[in-house]
Amino acid sequence: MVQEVLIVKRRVGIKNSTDIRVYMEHDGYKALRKALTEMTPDEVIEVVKASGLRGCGGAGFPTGLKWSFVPKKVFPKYVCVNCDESEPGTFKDRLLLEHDPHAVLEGALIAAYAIQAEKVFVYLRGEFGKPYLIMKEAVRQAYEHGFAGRNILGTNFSCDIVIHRGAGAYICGEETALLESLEGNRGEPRLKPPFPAAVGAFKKPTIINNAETLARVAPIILNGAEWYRQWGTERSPGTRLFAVSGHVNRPGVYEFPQNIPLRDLIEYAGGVMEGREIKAVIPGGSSSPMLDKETALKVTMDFESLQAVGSAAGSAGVVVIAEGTCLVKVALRLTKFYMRESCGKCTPCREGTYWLVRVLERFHNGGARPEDIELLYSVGTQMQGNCFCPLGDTAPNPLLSALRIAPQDFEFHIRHQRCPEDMSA
Amino acid sequence: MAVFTEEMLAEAQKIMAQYPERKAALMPLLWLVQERVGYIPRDAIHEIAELTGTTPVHVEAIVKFYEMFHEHPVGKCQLMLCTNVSCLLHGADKTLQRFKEVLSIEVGETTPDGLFTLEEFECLAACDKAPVLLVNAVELYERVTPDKVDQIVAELSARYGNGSGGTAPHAGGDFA
Repeated sequence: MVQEVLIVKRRVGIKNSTDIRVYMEHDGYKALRKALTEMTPDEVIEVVKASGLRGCGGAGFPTGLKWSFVPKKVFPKYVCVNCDESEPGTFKDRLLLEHDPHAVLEGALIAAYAIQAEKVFVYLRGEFGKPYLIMKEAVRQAYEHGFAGRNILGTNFSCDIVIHRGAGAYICGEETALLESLEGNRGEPRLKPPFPAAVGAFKKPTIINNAETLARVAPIILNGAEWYRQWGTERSPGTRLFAVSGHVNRPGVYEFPQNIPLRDLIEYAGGVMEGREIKAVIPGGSSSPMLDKETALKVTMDFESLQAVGSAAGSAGVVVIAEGTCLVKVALRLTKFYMRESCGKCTPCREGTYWLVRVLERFHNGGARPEDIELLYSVGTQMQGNCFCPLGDTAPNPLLSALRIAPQDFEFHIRHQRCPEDMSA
Repeated sequence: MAVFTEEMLAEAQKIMAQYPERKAALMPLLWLVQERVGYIPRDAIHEIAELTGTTPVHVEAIVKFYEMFHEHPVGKCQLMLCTNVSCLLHGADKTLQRFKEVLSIEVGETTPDGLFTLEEFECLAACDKAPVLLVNAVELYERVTPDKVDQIVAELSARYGNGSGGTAPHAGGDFA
């Protein structure tokens, strides 16, 4: 059996791990001190760049590179921590926010030092009531111990932390929609360029990083880029938090090198429930196309391998779907999700998700026609690449991959006007 | 009727001071109102527009866009049941059905006693505990299979029902 590599998960499970004193007993805020007292901002950026750290929110953009795009001489600047974790099947940021909030804050403060930002905005999804209360206390403690506010650790670097709560909108995980939401607007994505690094929050240079990404910064600063590169691959170095759920015996968040075989990950999560066979696996949150069993058993979880098989590493939210599940049901539920969460700004997404749901409901409720399969393909493929932001571009992925993996489920619904699951129920 | 009390106005000033532009305080102010009043009354929309230098129609658009803001009163206990993929794979659709039966309401409705509002939510980022139920955005119930619904409803009724004196937990607009 493979062994977990605990980098960002290492304090999870320690008693009172959210308390700043416990955090400090376990290397907490040492990296911030090192960065502020021994390194220049550019040196911090260079180490993060050299580590190859990639964003853990979904897009996988190289973190150090993102930081290096920020103009040096424009002020003020901002850091946004993206804790809007809402991608179906993803629950790793919640783990960090509930068990190790200071790790996220320390990473955010180091990022703020690296780009010389004066303020950190922690954007928490509205449903994260418990993480909010924990984070609020963590921020209070960080100020109390002099890690936030004026002249941090006696240096001339000052930085404030503000927690900003969302109110139930998946789209706000998209970085420019997050900025709109922060500024008091509807969460509608902005046209890029300009990128937020140049024109971000309040029209000022801003970096937006996922909570897990930032939690990785302190260990990299303390141990160095080469240390981080001992795991994973050249292009996907280090580890990731894989959130495994669905039909497995031991669902949970597991930390492994990025290139762990999916097969080993599923085995580590206790294997498929009731000894059933795999039917499909969502490898990186619902926006990543589902894998069939054969592919799932041979792929590794790094960005390049999943891209090579036509899917994506995304948010590393792994959902295992066992044989006996109707993929029409799964596709309908996920397509409904994208319909509900579409911000309505662009037509292909707003109308496309709506019509896909209308047709899929015919399968679910009765009335599906043979030509509806072609219709689903047609609408779905016309959305891909034609939407304003990744929400719409990826919205047809669950459906299109379900059609490819289990056409028999769709055909069963057409022929018998009922769900194949009803036979076994 | 003014929704913002003196105390809330002082709180609003503190919130606005945290942002480079007062408009950014719009969502925190909506949270503040919802925490104190339970929903966003019409008058509050006008007051928040005034405070943030925006228009009532803009504030209203925000209230409508973000699904956790309520334009009308809701139950003391908001039952937010996730029915997204991992919860669905563990039978959340059947759990939802059971809630509808036990409470005799449809999704989006509130029980006549004003105690429960039933809502179908998107992924709550707790998929390892599927199906999950979030109460008032704070308290998480794990592995909520249909057979547990009666007990959960009874327990919440006892804690927050008439005469219990209990107040539902709420991570509202306390931004001080």
